Amino acid sequence: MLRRAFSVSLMLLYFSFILAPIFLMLIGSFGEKWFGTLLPTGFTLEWYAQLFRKAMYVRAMVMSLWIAALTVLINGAISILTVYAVHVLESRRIRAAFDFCLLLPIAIPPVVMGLGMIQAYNWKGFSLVGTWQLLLGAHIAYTLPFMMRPLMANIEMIRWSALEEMCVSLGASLWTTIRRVLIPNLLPGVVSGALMTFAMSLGEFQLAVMVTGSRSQTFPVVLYQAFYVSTGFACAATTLLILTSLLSLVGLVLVGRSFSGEIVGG
Amino acid sequence: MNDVKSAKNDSKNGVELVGVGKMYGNVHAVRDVSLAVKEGEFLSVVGPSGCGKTTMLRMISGFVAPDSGDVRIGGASMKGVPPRKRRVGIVFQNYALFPNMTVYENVAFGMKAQKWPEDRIKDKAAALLEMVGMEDRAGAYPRHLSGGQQQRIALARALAIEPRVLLLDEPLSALDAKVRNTLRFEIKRIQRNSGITTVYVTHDQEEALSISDRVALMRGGALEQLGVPAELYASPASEFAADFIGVNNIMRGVYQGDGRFVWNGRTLFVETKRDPGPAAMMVRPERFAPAEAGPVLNEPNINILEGRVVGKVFLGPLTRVAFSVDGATLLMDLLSAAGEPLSAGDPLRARFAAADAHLL
Repeated sequence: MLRRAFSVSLMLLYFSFILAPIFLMLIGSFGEKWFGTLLPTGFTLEWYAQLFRKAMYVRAMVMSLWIAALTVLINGAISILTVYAVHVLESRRIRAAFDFCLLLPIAIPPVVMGLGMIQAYNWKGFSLVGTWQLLLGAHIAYTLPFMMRPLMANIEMIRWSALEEMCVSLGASLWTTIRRVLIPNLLPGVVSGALMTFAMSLGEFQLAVMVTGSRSQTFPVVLYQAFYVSTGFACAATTLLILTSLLSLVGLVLVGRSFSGEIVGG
Repeated sequence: MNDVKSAKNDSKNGVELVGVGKMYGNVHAVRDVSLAVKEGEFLSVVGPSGCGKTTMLRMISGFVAPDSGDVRIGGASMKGVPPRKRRVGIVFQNYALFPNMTVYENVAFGMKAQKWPEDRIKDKAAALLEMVGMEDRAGAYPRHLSGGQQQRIALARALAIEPRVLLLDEPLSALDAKVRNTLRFEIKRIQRNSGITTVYVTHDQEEALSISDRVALMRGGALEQLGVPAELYASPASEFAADFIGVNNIMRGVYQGDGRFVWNGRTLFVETKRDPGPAAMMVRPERFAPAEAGPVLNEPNINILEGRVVGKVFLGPLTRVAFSVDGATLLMDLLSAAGEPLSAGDPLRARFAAADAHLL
């Protein structure tokens, strides 16, 4: 009983620590004034109206969604092929190298990666720094392990080698094998990888603030600037980001389920 | 079974291995194996794990290329023929059904990949599902089926492409004993009805003996013995074969010629054509029988051993009695019967006929 009470209160503490600031943001986004009081005073939708009137914020949100979506798509394609190749080769050395590569982006702080990218892709007369393509590349490199991991676990769980041999012995071409057997059976892994990488890309700040320019700013970058405008405005922008993130993830889950329900469900 | 086989009696070989060998590093996985499986024949390959039986199977399917020698299917060399083109049906131990497809889609997969006409696929799949007794589960997904049911589907899927050879790699090893026994004879029935050349790999000698036309015993990558089940059981070619197939009493001694074998100072009679010299005598436990009391007098065709019961195990229909003779422990199988139970320490006289001893 005591143990139960302890673990429940610990969980409540954890949730309130994480959720309370977010909840305050939500309240603050509807408040007229928030200065020197615990809670904001008054009620207004003005901050949201301003958010949608300012082209910079709208463009940044579109840019964020665009980059997150492309990150997921490209990550998915790269990961399926890589994981398939690493699994089929059955080489212990290649597997070790693969595992090491997956650790790299986690071991290297994004701020180091961002500085490196500025150095590496900034030449006289031709610079990638400031373009959304460079940020896309950075996000792909940064989030790739989080797509690879679930896929690797997935392909091992379905014991792909045996399935592939089965396809071959039944006379199926490589293309048929990949399209009709590999991809459908990897969908659960793709969905969980997509959830991870989409959320990471959408909220990523460090790389974005270093690599992007005025025309390629993502939402977290402009959100940071919003705090210099006014508290209520910043709260509205934050709430919008959280809402977008949640809706996208729910959407991803639903899309994934409709494709892979046959495998995961039941 | 006889009509299928006699019709094809003198026909060509379904699968032929000609001096095939395969090395992994310094290890001979398979060494110089030559073996012909007749068309329509059910051949089992048995042996302890690591004996090369699975490698041999994979050389037939084409997933492993032999370092030396040749694999022939239907008389044609398979050199350079990829697995996709060999028309070999495979069944694995872990079923390897496609999880994203229904039972029907699994069975139809090969036929679709080979672009059979739609109505032919439908008819064939329906016929196969009926053959394996799964016609009412056509819409189910593999995860809803038991292991035995999954293996039935795997069998139907392998047969769907009308393969020239059917390869089964320990297909029953993952199933529980009861299902294993039922499915064993169903595989045999289906094989007999379709008359397909079949190579069946297993480590279970009892399984191999009960369903095969012939059994190939492998050891350390080489073929140890090849023969019909009764022959393998009655006249093993080596101590290894005698030990691996069934339970055996092995008595080491010296053959003196003229049907006399000396073991621990006793002279035993045996029927053999071999030359005198050190030898091992083998007697199956069920060939022993309790003998009447009386003097130990070995006649040329009956041997009697006197000893004491050490212990016994009840095996259902049989009771296996361990008894010791001059310090050596031998096993005797008796039909389980009520009354007159032997117990440890009892004196025992066991007899066996000279014809039932096998000398190596």
